[in-house]
Amino acid sequence: MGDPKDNKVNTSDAKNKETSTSSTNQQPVTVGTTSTTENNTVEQKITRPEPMLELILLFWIDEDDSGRKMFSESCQTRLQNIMKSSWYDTTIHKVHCPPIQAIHEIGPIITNWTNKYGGKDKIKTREIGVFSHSANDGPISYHTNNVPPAPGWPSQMAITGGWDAIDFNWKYPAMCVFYGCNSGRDSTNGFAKRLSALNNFKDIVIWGQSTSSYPSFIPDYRVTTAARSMNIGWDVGPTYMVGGNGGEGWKATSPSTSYPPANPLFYFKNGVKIGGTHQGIFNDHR
Amino acid sequence: MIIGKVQNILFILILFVILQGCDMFEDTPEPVFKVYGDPSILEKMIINVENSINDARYPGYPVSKVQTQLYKGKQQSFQNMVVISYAIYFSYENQVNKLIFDNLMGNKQGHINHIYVFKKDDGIYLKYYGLESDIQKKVGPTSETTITLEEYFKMNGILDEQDQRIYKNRFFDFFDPDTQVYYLQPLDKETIEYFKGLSLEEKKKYGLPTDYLKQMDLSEGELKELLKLSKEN
Repeated sequence: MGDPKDNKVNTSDAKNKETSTSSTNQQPVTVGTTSTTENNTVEQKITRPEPMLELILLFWIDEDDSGRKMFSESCQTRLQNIMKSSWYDTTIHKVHCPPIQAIHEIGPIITNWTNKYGGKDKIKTREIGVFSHSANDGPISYHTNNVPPAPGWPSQMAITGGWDAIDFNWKYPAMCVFYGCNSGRDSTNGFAKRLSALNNFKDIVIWGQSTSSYPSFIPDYRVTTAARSMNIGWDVGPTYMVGGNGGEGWKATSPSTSYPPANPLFYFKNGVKIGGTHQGIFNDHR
Repeated sequence: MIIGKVQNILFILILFVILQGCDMFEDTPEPVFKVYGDPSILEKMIINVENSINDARYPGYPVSKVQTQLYKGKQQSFQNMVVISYAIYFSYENQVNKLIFDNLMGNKQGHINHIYVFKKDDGIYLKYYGLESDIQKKVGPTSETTITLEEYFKMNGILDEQDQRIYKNRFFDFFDPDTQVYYLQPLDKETIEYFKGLSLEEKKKYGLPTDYLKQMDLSEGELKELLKLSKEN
């Protein structure tokens, strides 16, 4: 058949053939007559719409910080889980893990990748993830000031003129996940909650951590090792940033006791919390 | 003997670090707040500090307490643990404003909690420094100028009388730092409306703290079912 986007149909087989509905078995058949001329070959171009591509960008903060390995490894785990997903199709889904030094890089990077794949009519954004430190004003880049800065600190980007100015070019449905501490608190100044009320996040589900987040080997419980707590041993096994409570670090390394369940990620849509669960719902290697 | 000592030191070191995570400062107390400024201005000021924390009883919901740092020129002293964010309510005579910021420097060397008060164009401003090194660089969250209470309510869309009363208290009242306790902040009205519109099954999955459920105007049967579920969990 050749290229499915440029099919050529040879009609010469139909030459001098005639079919009729008056056939004996009463089956409805189309009647048609072709040219009686010899070698009557017609090339007919059939075009099918190209499938819309889907962009997935997993950002992680790449700066001199004790959390750096946790961010990069959690990002890699999410990448691998996406690539192992039943829905993943290499011809449609374009996944990248850009390391960033400032939060204000997110908007231009989305635009760059969108243009790289042919522009907004060819690709839509299916998922955004941000692996970083975070708080009520969102992800933090300690060493690079953001433009525009949040009202509190330049380490965070302002919602007005910053987050609300990004053209995400969403596919519907889509998701946006902030894996850093306290990014999804259900309070009036909660970050994910405030973003979800913005026009450029309309109808998008935004996830954030309800509490502080910690590294874990699995998404639904807080399970780690002493090695990882010393910021080594990151290359062994997957990494998830899961919600946890202070003072439960010992339990998280201790197989003899039950591991602490991960505190939920809360998810918001159009300014309201619509649910909460651990990230294993969408991000799990098992 | 020496090996034993090394093992002990290593064990303590490991024990210390495994308590750390993204919240690297979870066992470090916050430094006390200090307010600097012209005494003639400070004696007409009230500065109340609200700090928000993570409370394992209400994960993801706002828990905070308000403590007075400065009351008509007199400084108070208090220390808290693992603060996520601060909201500084301040008044100068009958003028008010608020400065909100995340506690980003809690895990940094040289962390301080300094507030500088200054006057500019007849208005009073606050500037916060979270690191010693920020004082020279003059880097830190800065408030807007003081305005009247009525202007503040109007600018921030605070229309509900009960909300106005809470704000007024936080701008002008004395909150004894030693007697204040953390409490669960009220849920916002949009979330209450959304929750009430859910079916019972959806409400069960939503996971609201029982304190919120009790404050809602839910039917007796629904409330009973939801509280029963909370107890089971």
